[in-house]
Amino acid sequence: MAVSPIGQSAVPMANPSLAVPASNGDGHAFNRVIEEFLYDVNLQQLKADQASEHLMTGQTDNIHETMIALSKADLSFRMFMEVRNRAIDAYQEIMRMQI
Amino acid sequence: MSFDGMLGTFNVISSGLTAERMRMEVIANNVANASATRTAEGGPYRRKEVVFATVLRDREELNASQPPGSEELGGVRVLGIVEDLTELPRVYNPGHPDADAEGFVTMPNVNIPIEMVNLITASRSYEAGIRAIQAFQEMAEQALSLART
Repeated sequence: MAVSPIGQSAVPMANPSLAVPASNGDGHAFNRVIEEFLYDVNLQQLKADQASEHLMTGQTDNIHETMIALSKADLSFRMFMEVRNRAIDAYQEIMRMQI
Repeated sequence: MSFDGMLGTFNVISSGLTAERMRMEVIANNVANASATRTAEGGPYRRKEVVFATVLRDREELNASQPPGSEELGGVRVLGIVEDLTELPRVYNPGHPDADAEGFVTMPNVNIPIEMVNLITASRSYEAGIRAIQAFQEMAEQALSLART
């Protein structure tokens, strides 16, 4: 009866392409995603600023456009905050790990 | 822009609100000129009406994930303001400076009750747009609350 030795599992341990992240490039993908996200959020804030300035200086007479720009800025900022909270929660969870 | 795609509903509703505001402006002008017998083109004022047209979305704004037909969800715009060419009523008023030899004055074809009905329609449509924005905001907020649990 053939017994397979210990340490040589029939099932491969793990797919190496999944286990080890590809180290091509600078490897700051998440960083870049957050940066782009932050850029977009900032853009919405700037647009809201511009819209309220236009309304106050009389360059536009559509109140709703300003209000919509404001709520877009509000929504995108709050979405960013949720992502940030999640990231910080994950970080704190890791820091609490027993070693 | 990624947010402009995600918050595209806002842009669509915004175009609708702008269009309704324009309609309101035209109705206000009709009411204000309800008895104007002289205009720049000569003759009495003619009632104006707005023409709305749907807007197609930018091809670049669309991505592959959006279903076919979504290029037609670009909102609305005011295509133009046209004159109502119905007959101008003639009113007997010999004392009027614009009265003709028989004492009749050609008055604008503005009908105040009709304008009032149109005004209510415009106002209600604006309200509906505002409600749509509020509903969309609530949806977005509920989606955000998913991350908070």
